[in-house]
Amino acid sequence: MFASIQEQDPRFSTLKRSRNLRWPVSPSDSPHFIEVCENSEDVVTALQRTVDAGMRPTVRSGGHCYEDFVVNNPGGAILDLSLLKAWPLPGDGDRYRISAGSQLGAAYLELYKRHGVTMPGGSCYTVGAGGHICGGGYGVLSRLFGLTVDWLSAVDIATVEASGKVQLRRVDKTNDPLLFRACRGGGGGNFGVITDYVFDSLPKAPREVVSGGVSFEWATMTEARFVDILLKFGDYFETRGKDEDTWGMFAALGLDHSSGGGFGVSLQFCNPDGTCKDLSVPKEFLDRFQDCGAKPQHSVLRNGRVVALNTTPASACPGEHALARQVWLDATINGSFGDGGSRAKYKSCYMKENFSVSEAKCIYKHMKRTMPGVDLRGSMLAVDSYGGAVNKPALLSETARPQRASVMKLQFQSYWHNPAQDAGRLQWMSDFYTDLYTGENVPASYSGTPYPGKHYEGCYINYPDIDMLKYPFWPQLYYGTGDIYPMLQDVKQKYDPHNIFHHSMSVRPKQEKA
Amino acid sequence: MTSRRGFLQVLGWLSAVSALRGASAEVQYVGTEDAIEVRARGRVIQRVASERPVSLELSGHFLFAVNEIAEFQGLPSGSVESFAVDGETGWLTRVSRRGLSLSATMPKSLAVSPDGRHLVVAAYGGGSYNVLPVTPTGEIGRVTQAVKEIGCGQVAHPHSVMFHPSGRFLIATDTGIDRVSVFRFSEGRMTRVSYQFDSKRGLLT
Repeated sequence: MFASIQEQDPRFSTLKRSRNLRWPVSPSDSPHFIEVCENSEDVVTALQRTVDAGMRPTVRSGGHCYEDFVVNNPGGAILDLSLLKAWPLPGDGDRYRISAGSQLGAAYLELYKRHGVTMPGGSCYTVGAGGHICGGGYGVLSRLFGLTVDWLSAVDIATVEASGKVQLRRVDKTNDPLLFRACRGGGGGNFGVITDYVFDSLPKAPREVVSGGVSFEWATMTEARFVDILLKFGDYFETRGKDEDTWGMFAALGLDHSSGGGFGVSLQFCNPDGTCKDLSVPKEFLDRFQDCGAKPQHSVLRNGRVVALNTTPASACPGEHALARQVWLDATINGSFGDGGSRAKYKSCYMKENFSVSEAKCIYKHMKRTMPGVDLRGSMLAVDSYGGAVNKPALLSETARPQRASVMKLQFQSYWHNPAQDAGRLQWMSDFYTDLYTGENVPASYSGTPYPGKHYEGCYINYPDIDMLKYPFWPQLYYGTGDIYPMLQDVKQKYDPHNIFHHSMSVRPKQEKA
Repeated sequence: MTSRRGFLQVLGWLSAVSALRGASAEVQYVGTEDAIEVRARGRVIQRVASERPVSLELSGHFLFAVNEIAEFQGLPSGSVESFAVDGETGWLTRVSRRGLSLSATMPKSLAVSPDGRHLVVAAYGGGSYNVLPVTPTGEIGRVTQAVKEIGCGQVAHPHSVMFHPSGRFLIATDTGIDRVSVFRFSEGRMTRVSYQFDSKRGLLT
């Protein structure tokens, strides 16, 4: 039996929150009910009750949604799946089943300890599988193994029929194939409530990895050196990074705003066989930065961010790198819980090519920008390596993730606590983004956005940014200019004809004729 | 108040209401594709920009309009507007514009409660009704209730809604599910009284 929590319950004020503490904006955005479900029957019951009452359901697994798509549900019901367990079903055989309510870290532990396999998903332990996987599921192992949805074999999902009746479906390549495709990257909150993800096979977890990096100080940084660092990073992934022996390397260029002291490049690497026998790839990569005034840095990836463990004062000579060897499981699980909730804003961009000099200069300008009365510490641009196994062209038509030609994925981030800083923080990021995506690489009609083309490949639906809604072409930013968005609209019409599952950036019904 | 939609569509108008103003001159409010026109003695005396104001309602010193649109400020919703009406000339001054709930698109009709304190909107596209509060100065507040209609194998398209003169009931028609619905209206909330939906049998009972 599930817990139905209402406003008078002491748990309500805690559970109505999002991890992004900007949401809900006001108490009147909050739902009437938070339905904490423990199994798929609970989900069916809670969803049916919500629909019968004429209320809007939203769905939450880990509560990490960047925007207000879940917790802004005035008078509605949040279906909380975080206690949902995956119960192996007869007929599952050797298949792997991940509950939508599972946290990624817990799923990695379970898959590893039971089977020695893993998903190439995200690096933050507490992100929920429900939203993460159906939006694509990109992470540190994605260059080696592809996106999580590339491995997905079936989905259990509760949908609402035209009759109003809730139906639990098992969808895969033969049953409801379009709905299955839509669940492979279409993003959360669109078509129904996913309760389980099923994988026929998953990649073998690496045995060990090395972590390492280099760091740079803002105090001695010049524009020319900054540009040089960005172009060296981007050039690697545009050229050498396409070779298969490098796919085991994930690298992030963590560009912290200059109010933060410094920034750095860090990496995690294993050979394609899951060992660290041959470290020539990460050494060769780090060699690129040796004449940039870099300092070797013991660093690890935490929660998708690079954290320095210590810094050696002397500049390293080429070939000398601080590469810390770790058991893969420790590198994946330890310390990646995140630092609790804060206020936050995000934007994203996929890049098919290296930065241009003018882009790098623009990034430098906004990293050095100061705004009176605005504290910009904790603001950054994380440039992640992309491509490798993700970029197999056949996956474009099998999944709903169109970005299959990019070499870098950018995540603009800002974290703060004081609500009085909201406006300044949002302004900084909006100015930065608009400036960066206006000019030589973007046709005038798509100005202000990384519209898919020769240079860019749009945005990541798991890093949603409602600022993009002001552009009528926002679906093409997230779903590409091909058949994916029209396909998603067909799925909406067929499987959610009442548009029961909606939020400000959900797949919109085809325009009704009045 | 006059409903003359069928006639008006022929003329390219969307909606109209009329009222006696000042020196017994009849003033008409006519919704067009992109404006609300104020007319007196057959002449347009004022034109206020609007977006597809398909339904107009006068209440006290205010005119309310519902905008038949699928997107408002980038969000998937329609919107409603309020205007203060000059008691002498009938001229309009904009007071507020408010988005409907998410997915409440292409609204067709609105009703003002007899006490003037609430608006109820029938959202054709979203298959739902919205309740919004109105302040004594005519300011429309945020949606306080959204009621989603789930049809009987059909997608609901609420088309019109009106208050019973007592203010205690709402009568609504839905061209998607071919039904007339009656709602009780009490303390600013609407509750269905005409039928219950039986999801197990897929029936309206």
